[in-house]
Amino acid sequence: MDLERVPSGIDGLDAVIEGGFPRGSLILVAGNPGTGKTIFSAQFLYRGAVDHAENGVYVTLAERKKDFIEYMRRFGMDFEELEKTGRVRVLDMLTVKDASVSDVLNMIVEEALSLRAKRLVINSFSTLAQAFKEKIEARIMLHTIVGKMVKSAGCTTILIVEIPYGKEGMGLGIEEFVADGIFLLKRGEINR
Amino acid sequence: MIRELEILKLRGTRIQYPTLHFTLEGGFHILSRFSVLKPENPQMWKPIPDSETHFSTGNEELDRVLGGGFERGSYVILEVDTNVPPEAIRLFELPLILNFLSQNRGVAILPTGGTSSSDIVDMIQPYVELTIIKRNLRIYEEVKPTIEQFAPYIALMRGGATNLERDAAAWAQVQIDLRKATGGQPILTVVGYDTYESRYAEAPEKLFSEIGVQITECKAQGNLTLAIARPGLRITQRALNMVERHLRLIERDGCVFFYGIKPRTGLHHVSCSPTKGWPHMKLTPIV
Repeated sequence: MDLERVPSGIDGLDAVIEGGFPRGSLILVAGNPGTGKTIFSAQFLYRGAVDHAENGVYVTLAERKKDFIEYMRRFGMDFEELEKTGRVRVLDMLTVKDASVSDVLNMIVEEALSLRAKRLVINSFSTLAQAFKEKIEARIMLHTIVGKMVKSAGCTTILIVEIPYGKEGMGLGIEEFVADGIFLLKRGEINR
Repeated sequence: MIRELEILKLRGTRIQYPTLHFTLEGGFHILSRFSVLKPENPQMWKPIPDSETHFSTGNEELDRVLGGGFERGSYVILEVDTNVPPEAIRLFELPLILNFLSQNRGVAILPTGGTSSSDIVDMIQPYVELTIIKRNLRIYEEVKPTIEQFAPYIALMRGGATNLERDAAAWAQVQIDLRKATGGQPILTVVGYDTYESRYAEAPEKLFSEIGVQITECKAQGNLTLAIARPGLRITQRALNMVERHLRLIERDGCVFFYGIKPRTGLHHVSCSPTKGWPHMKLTPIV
């Protein structure tokens, strides 16, 4: 049976991936800084809300909500307006202090479930993972997201994974195995 | 800078092209693999006027990227990477040729390998009047023992593979005749370096010397020359040392890109749009 597809919101991508991401899948978007991960994931959420009336939650752990909204406006995406309509919530977890990783995770899941979100972006898994003492905690977190959001709620989720310059491999070595899809973004130079 | 998206896995999905290219111009856009889209209803070419200092390339976007087009008197080398489809090169040269012809100017072409004079006329004919082609276009073609070559746009090369001087004299005469026919207008010359190299392989020094003469003449007469250099040619590097305009077309994973080395420009994705009524080169900056 054909999988139900969620349009990615990225011009030209759906034609290559049979119509979009499989509904209720966990997608990793990985790359060095400046490779376009934030724009990719924001466009997924924005176009989902505007073109397909799908609610979404964007979790920012790497930059302030205000900066994110300003930055996205430059690409024609008005998240402030979408928040007013109740289609999208942008959660600023950068400023959440004294909360454990599981508290943060619970907040994300609660927000997404209360909004009946069909799309979720966590920017970034790498930032969240820095707070883990043990690898097992990251595994628990991933399984919580997959179990509660991706599978039960059918919420297609993008996890952003930062790859520092000069580092081979993706992150903790767990997320690649749990994810349904992995998209690696790169930036290179042309030999002139 | 070039941007790449690699799909490492996607459950339940057959991925035919795992490596894609993209730009962040106005958002995240995957760039299309190169394909040719022919216009359903070809339209007559509408000339783009030149400035006092520059010839238009026949493409307003390209004019902007190059800072106004090609300076009068320029000798431009378009270096073409392996795997760039010939149609992508035509997207670059066709508007330039049409823009010259439609302004009653002369165009002389020494085709690249595998392209005949009839291929060139077929490419041009839907967009300009046949009378202009007959009067203002000349395509150099080698004399073939069994074929009569009577078409008015054919200029025969009678020099033979080792007699470059005789061919050069014939080319010079063609330029004089075109100038006369067009009332002294500047001339566009399009040259395939692969044809040069294969035809005059036994006299490389004479060929370099002839290219030097052509560069000087082009500048002195205020003409324009577009030399197309396919990969692996020995003459390209030496010729590049003599010119002030060097552009490149490259191919990556089915996508075609353009950039300038002299003048230095950003990288642009090349695609074909038929909406204007002719094959139009669309340039998308990679940011």
